[in-house]
Amino acid sequence: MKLVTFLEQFIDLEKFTPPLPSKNSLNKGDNNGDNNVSASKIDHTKQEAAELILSANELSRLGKLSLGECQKAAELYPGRSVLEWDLLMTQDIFEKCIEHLATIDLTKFSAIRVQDPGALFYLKQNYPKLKIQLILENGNHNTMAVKKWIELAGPQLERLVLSIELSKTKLLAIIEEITTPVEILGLGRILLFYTPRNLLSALYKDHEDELTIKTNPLFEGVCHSQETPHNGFPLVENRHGTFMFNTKDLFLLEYLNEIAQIGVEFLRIDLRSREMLDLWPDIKKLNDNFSKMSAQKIKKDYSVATIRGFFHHNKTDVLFKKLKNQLIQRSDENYLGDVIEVRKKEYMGIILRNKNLCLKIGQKISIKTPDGKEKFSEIKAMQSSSLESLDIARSGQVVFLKHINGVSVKSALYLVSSVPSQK
Amino acid sequence: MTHWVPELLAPAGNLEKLKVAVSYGANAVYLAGQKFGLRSAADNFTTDELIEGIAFAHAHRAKVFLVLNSFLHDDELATLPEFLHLLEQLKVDAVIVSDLGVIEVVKANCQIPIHLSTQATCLNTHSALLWKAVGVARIVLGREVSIKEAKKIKEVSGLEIEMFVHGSMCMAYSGNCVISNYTQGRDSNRGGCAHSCRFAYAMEMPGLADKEQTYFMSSKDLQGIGVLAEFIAAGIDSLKVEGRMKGHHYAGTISKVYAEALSSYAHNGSFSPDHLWHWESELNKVTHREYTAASLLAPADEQSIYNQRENDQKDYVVAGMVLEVVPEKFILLEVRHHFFRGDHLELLPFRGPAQFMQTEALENVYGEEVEKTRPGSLVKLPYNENAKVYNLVRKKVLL
Repeated sequence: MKLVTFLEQFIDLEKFTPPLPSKNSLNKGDNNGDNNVSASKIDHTKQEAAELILSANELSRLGKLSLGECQKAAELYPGRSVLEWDLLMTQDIFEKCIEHLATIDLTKFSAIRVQDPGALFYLKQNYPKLKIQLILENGNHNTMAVKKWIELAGPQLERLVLSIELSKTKLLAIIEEITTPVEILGLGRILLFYTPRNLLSALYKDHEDELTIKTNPLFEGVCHSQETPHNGFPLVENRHGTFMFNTKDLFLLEYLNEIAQIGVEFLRIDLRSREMLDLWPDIKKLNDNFSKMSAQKIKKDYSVATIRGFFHHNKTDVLFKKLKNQLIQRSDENYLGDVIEVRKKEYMGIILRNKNLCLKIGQKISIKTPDGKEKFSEIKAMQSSSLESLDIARSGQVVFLKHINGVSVKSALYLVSSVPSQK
Repeated sequence: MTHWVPELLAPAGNLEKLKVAVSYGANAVYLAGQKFGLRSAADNFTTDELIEGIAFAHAHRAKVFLVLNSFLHDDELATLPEFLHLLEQLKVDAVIVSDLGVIEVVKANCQIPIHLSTQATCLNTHSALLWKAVGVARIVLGREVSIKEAKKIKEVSGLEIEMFVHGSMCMAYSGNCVISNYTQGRDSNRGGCAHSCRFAYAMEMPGLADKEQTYFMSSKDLQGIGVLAEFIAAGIDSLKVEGRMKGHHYAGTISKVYAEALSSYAHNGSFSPDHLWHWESELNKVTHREYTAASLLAPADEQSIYNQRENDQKDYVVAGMVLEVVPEKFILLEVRHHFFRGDHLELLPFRGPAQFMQTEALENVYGEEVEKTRPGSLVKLPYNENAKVYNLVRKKVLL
């Protein structure tokens, strides 16, 4: 399997002073210099990964390099380099992004990776020779969707980045149906939440002066849920908005063989947020010569707790049935209406709701209660809300019947052809 | 002279809410069947309810859009065609879809127009052009898009454009939040959103008090009544109200207020400040968080963050809904919130201002006097010639 990783994790950005923004900078925080990228530093990464992802702060959600640095890195790196453009963009942001794109030579990059469908469309229209890696990490859980994306992307598409919510069974089902190479995240933070709003700097409004907020391009922190047992969600706010990550990182290195057997060709290793670059050689070695024990050692050395996510099973829809009381869900067959008032041992008010059925004296009914009981009875008398005796009532009418023990409001009334004996 | 105004699209969490929303003036409603939608906890519609709801809406010249906006798996896609054939027979006016696989199945199995769900995060002209090529007729834009941007998207794409005008807001880009998946074991994009963004979180950040408790991910509610003129000028085709999980009071009041506002513009070609003040005041009478215009005019800033415990403001509650009107005799009210004999209630007619309602004579169905009503009971109120079935009756909350 080919490992894909990020240039930034090989460069200690903190040790470099970003140059002053140039006159051509389009946004606060732009960094068009190349202080972070030099031949020697690129050399450090030489042959390290099958491919380097270059994340520019103008185009990438979490990018810290400038576009200029990305281009220089692409020129210097002897292997494949891919420009990341994974922002979701409203029209105004999109227009700024394409201005940024126009400032660099995209032929220096092996490919560009995008998530916003607009970016895909734009690249097809304007850069027809540029190879595209399409990120389908949100949704796209069925083969038909994936195949259609491949068709839409056309011959420029060189790779799909699929969701880590897909279990290995579903991954296999999709990969068997397509020829486009597939990448998944193998190690790194799991992004849970992405908003363009600035949620962290807003918290400083009462604590810091405006200048501090405006001049700080990056806010980082951790939050702990006060209503669930989940502690330690990493948070980042930058010029593109606010990002929240899972409390535990994804770690699939123990399953490298399985992942390869499924047919995943590229595995993304994202160590950007973790100071664990020393693990990189071990990960490389593991990929070349897999052993469960080595994988477990890497896991042990990894500085934060990890999960395997949904790789083996994804059961995130099994709880849905419990979200509502199935016992009070209406069934269409022979449905008459609902009990809307009860006076115990005296009467119950029923609203008839079925336009195709009416309620008549002598009919046999069943009443399903919210606690799952079913009561049977025969209509011997009924009254309107004006207390007039009725022989027949229709949809929209409110009628009153003698109360049946155990029947409460929200019970549903059904017509039956025969009355079973009640125990 | 009649001036063009957008469609008002209201939520219909169940059949009764559909009738309430349409009766109060919604031009269209959106709803879900028992499967394929994004609100697993909502009542949703059975086949018979769909038949009745669509018939009711069409009889009132309102359209019905059915949501199929869950991200489906292969096995579910296989069961979709049968449902689509039913929807086509029932003459559903459009389906709302976010998943490209679902779009392909819809196109292959029926002629129902496709509206792209906000879950698909369409935010720009280029994205709209791609979805147009796919075959969608309308795009429900992401709530991050401004009206000005939406106008451009409409002009460039030539597609119908729908925007949210009112209701709760996802803080994340819709369709791009999986907090529930990892913390609750419920797929938020398949109907299991646990609203984790509304929870309290203790923060650990430099410069902040240690473990300061916040609701930093909770958004204020969208309210666009004040920018209706901008929506109209931009030619936005449909204004959508969020809230299939919300109650009858919400469905009725929001539909009534926005329908009246749009109708007023259609007749006058402008909004008067007095009217706007009145409509805003009416919108404050339904349960809501603080309101914001969010990104409608400019990118949402820190003022759009609610940052409070869920404490829905309630100036009014729905006392009940009219079930029957027996001329010259009485109104039969299904009580939703308790009230006392002598309380001041307001009848909310389908058209026109709220009307004071006499409750000095309050009886149960057998004519016995009632001093205090309880939810889940029926009471008779004196006949009011303006009352109609499905009218809401509200009560001011005394603080």
